[in-house]
Amino acid sequence: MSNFRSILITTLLLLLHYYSPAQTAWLYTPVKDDDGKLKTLQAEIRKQYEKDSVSITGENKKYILEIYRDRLKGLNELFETKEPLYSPEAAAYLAGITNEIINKNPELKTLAPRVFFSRAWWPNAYSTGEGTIVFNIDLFTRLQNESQVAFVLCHELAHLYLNHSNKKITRYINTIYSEEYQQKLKEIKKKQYDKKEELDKLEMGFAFKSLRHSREFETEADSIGLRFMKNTNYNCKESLTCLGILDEIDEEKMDYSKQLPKLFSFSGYPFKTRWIEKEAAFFGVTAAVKDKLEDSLKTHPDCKERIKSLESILQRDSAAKGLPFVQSPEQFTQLQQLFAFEGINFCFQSKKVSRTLFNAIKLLEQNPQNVYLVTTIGNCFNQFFEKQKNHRLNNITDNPSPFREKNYNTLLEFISRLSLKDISHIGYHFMNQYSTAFSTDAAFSKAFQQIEKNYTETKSSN
Amino acid sequence: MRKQLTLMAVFMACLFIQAEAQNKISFENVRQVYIRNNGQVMDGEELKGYFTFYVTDKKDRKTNAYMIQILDNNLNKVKEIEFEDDKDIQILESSYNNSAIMFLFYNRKEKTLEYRCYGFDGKVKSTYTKDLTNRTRMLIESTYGGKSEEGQNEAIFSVNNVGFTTVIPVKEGKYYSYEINFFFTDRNKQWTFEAAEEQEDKWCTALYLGATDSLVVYEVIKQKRLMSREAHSWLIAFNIFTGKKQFEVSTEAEDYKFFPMNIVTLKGQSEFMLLGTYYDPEGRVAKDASLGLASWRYNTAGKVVSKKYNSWEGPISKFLPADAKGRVADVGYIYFHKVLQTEDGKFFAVGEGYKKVVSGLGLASGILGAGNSGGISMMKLKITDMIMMQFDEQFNISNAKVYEKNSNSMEMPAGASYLTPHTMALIAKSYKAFDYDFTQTDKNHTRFSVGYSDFVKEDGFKGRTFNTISYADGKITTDKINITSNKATWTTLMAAKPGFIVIMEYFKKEKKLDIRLEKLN
Repeated sequence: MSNFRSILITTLLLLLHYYSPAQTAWLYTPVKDDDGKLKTLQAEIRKQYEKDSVSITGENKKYILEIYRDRLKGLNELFETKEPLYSPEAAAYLAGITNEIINKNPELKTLAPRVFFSRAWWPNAYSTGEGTIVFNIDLFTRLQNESQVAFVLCHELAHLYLNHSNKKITRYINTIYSEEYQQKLKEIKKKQYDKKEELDKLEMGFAFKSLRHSREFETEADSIGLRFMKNTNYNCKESLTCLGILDEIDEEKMDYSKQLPKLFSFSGYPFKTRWIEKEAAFFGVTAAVKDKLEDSLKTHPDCKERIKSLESILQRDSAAKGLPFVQSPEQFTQLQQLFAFEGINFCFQSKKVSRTLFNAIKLLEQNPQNVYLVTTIGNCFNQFFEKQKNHRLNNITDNPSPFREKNYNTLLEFISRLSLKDISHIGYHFMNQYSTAFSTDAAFSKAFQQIEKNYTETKSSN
Repeated sequence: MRKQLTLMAVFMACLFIQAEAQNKISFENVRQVYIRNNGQVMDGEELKGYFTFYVTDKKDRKTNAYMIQILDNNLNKVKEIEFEDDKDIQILESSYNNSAIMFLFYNRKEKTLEYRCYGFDGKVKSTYTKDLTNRTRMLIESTYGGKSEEGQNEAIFSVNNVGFTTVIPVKEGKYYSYEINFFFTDRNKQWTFEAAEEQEDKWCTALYLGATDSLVVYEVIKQKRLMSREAHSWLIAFNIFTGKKQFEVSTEAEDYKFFPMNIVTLKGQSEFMLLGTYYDPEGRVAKDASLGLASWRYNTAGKVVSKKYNSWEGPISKFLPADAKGRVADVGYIYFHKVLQTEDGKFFAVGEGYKKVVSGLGLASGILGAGNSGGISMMKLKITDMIMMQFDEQFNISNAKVYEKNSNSMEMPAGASYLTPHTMALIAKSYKAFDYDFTQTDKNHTRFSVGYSDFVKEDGFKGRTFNTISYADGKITTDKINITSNKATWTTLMAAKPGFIVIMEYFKKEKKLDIRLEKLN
């Protein structure tokens, strides 16, 4: 009996522990970067640029150097805008994966890559070609396990190992500035008629070739990346699930035309359906419009094709074995949770307020009682109010477009149809629902105070 | 507005100026693209987008390659149309009707006007070329040269989803006339009406008013002689589908002379209503003050079935301190820029005050020039405040409000002292001297915004402002945008979709052009 009781209590405690995150909202604290490490990282990038600059040879040196300089400028801008995320925990986790790959693939050791997370809100990872590999936290939040992260890193390390980026630069410069090409350009320049047509032909021929190479590079990076992965303790089959996720990354699970009325309709200020009514397509343009030429100009092969070719490698080499996680799965989950919030915070700090609201609404559905998300949504409305009042709303919001994600476009149309009064009233009623529950939270109180002020300012207006 | 667009074109063309700093040639060094002109894509009174007309290549001595880039009203690039044509063409106007887009091309050297209709696939659906005589060409240049002040087309208009109608001024011998065309978008078919064939008056011109389900209606202004200043208003209507003239009636044959400004189609009914100013039956429109605002309801045979008047001394004087001649205290006479009915049934009239006053400059010039005022009249036109009148569904005035602004004045040429203030106002309108810029609305008139300029001197700000009076959700709101900015080198505004404005700011130091679509408050 006592045994039974103790089992029961233990089970109950376990259950309580398991369910606790859903009942007590997770508290987000913005990531504090290791500024010293970031400075070192930036200095290393600069040093690498200087080293690369002196190593360029050939008659087109100055043009290659120009592109290297632009690349350095782009990387420096990342640091200036505080995009790199470099907390000891996140950096250690990423280093754990990178080291597992490099240690099991000695040929990678000389590369000494600088790998770090970026706070950018879109799902991407890239190798800049001079030793830097950037992993966007948004991509990290979409993946299911460490092995998938490892596959992405293997792919990017393969690009670096195969020197794809620099090869592309050199090929581009050496083609454009070759004697043959320059002769053609000079001839076209001298021509009185059909300049554009000739130039288009020349440029298109080069673009097709160059993009074909790009796609070949991607396929090569997949297979070499998989080769690196096989030598690690990661499960290579996750390369396929990872590409499957990437293939469906644009699919939207939430319908904002339903979510917005659910979130922003109040007894004191009901939702108006005209705020999200679809506009008739202008010139028949919908997001589906695409022509064959665009397909030919794609830099990446389709994920489905990539899966197919990796599948054949995996089958040939007998079923791969390995672990989904080499490091702690809890750490992976914690980082994912942290990054989801951190991405929103960075979006807001970067004044991409419509994007912030879009992501915060999505995350609020999973974390309905989260004070940070509620406060952020309130702050978005405060920002909209201030900017619209001064006719600068477009500085912090995107314009609706048939080419954007459907849900994001629905939100943008919604924002674009709100009057100043709508903005202050929706914001106020939304935050007011939480005013008792979150009254002790300083950030919430500050945002609510501002929203109350805006509300009062427009309450008496027509 | 047109000036601003031209400015934009010049600026954007500068962006294509080539840099030759490098020793070797890049694509950018060779590629030359020029903007010939740009403008708005209108669907009736609603701005649906913008077009930019590029010269992309020279094909031979007489031919260029062109590209029309079409942006939607959120400034997204939605289509590029490429074609080859004569090197001297330019686009005068563009109109859209939910199934096609029509451009009016003008070739000054070849003296042709071409209406070209494109489908959504970017392919030509139909085209119609009109050869112009030298005199008609000059007339067209003077007519279309300063268009678009009110953000609306003057030559091509979308008609429901059926097609496009066009009005061309024509000069044949001593007669000033017009030609009306209708182009169907679902078939390569058109009809034409040439007024000259049955014209008695020396001068007549047509303005498109609007369309019902079956009729397309135009106002025709006729004068016996070119300089008579005795303008008479007529209404002409055609069956949309057959082009058959349904009626041509005078709007001066009833108890008052009536000058329509806008048409109101009545849902589910074949009758339609015209809104405008009315005058004494013996009065002369170009010289005399109006008696007030009227609405006349017509049936499809062109017969007036009901009339409603709001006179200055009668109903309007209950809301504005106006005398019988339409003089409003402190404001002066009112020049009406726009009268429209909104979807909720209310009517609105937008006007601006004017007064004939003594010109200090004209007087001083006269004194200094010993009687010769140096080409400046002793009298000028003072342009005062904005006025908005509101009417109920039965066209009874229900409210009127004066929106104060700093007055502006227009000097008149010598000899104009004897003109009436109303004639001066017509001259001021043709020279765009009023502060009114445009009225933006959507097809169904669910909302509208009236835009006008002002110059203010107040604490913390001195400079030009753009102001709006907007109506949406049954409420009127006002807004003000400071055009003179401390930070930007220059700021300019462009008409946008209803309830919005495009703000362009150029920052010389940063060499940055910021183009934003901003919502009006």
